[in-house]
Amino acid sequence: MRIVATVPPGERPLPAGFEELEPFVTYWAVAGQNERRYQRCDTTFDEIRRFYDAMLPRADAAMKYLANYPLRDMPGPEARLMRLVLSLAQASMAVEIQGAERVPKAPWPDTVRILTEETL
Amino acid sequence: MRSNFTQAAGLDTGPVPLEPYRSQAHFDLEREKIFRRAWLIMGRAEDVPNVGDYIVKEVEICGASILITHGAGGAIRAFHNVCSHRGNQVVWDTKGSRKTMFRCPYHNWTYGNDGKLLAISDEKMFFGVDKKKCGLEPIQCENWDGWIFINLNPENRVPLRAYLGSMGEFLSGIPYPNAHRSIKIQAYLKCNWKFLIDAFSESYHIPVLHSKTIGPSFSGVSDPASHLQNAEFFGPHHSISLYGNPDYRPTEAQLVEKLAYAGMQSENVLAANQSKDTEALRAHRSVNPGKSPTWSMDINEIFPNFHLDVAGGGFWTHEIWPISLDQSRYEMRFFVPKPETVREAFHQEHYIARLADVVLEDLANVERTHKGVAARAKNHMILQDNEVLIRRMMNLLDKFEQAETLEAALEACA
Ligand code: FES
Ligand SMILES: [Fe+2]
Repeated sequence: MRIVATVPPGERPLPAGFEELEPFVTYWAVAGQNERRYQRCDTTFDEIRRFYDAMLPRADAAMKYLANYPLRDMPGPEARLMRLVLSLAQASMAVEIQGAERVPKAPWPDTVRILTEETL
Repeated sequence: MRSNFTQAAGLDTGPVPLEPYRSQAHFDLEREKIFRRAWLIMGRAEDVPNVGDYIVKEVEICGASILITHGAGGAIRAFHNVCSHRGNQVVWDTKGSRKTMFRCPYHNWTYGNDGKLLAISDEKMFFGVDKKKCGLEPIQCENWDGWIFINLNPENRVPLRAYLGSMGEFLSGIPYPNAHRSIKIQAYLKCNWKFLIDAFSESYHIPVLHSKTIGPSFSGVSDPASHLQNAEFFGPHHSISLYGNPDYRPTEAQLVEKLAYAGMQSENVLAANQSKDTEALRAHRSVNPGKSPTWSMDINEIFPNFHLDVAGGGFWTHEIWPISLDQSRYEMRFFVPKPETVREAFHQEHYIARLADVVLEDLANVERTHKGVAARAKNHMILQDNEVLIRRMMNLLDKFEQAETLEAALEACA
């Protein structure tokens, strides 16, 4: 499984002011909790850490900015920024809790699926 | 304080045989004497909220596909999802809404959501079919406190309420917040289903196996081994209460965790809901029934494969479904509010992400345990008092397997 977030031609990847996060959009701004968990599990600890370090200092500002948009109907750049914020929660499991990319000694890929009624 | 739950449950304290986890003969008995006789959980009434809604559930051990419908007049019914024509499945998806009719995709036989056969395509070429006798095969289906159960024995004479017995009375009336909205964690495991039951029935492993994820919040200075706070036994069902560390705080470095919980006024750091939204839940007489000041959650196990867990932050369920002797399906459902802001969505993502890691620690482990037990290096396991539910479960399974009828099994477990 290879999942990526795409930016339609002519759209900016992220809202103005968040340009420094653009390199993370393709991998981390994917829709769906299950997909974001997959991304966190399917990469290296160093990659997760790089994203975490870049995203953490901007998370609060991003959430303040996004509060002006309806959660379920955001324009493309705002939706991608929101998904980066949500991916930070996934990345934090590796960085703040496990100290490793995944649950140590658990098989990967695994059969775990997070099934949600809506896709954010 | 040294409680003895094992003695209170009327159990002996010797080693417990491992054969039921690895023998095909036991598995076959479980199919016939337990899963084909006991009441089995299918979900919440909120899973089929409106007339015309339906879900399809699998009971792999019995090879059954179950169609549950919400009919006109509000009746929730269950049927075998099997066409009367040549036996195909009538419904091929797992849920849907506002369907009063189901058309079998093989040759278009059409059924009402009350199971009646409404129409046969090209009927004139058949040889006088009595449509009244060709409806979907009904399955006993009852609702207790919003939980839908079925019984696969067409001759069953034990109503759901009698099956749940004093456990049903104990838990009745719990107000379930967000019962209409859940996030599911599903996994298929290479293990006997009872390893999954065991994995979620004791707290002894929490400070060890979950040392990083929930160890710090489920054990602490006042109880480093995460001892049970309470245990209650009701026929084939039971309930235990777990310790919670009142001193738990995120560490300095857990910045995302702090950010996620910044807007939360919650009972503990693993909470789906704000405190005010679980007030009624927490006030129920059977939530934290021992009224322990250091309580985190209750595990309510409804025999044979359903856990209904209640905590200060909300409730969740585990369903554990045997597929074969060494394969199982596991489904955990967290009932969570609908987020309205990015902050709320962020908190929920963090909550579920942590739980997925916790659950994966358990799930990776059950496969290892199965492998160890299947190696036949050991014939017994050695259980301590905080593992009382595992000992009791083995005892209950044995009683069900020995009993001629469900009535007799319940009698033996009383
Ligand atoms: S099997 Fe259903 S219509 Fe033929
Ligand atoms: Fe566990």
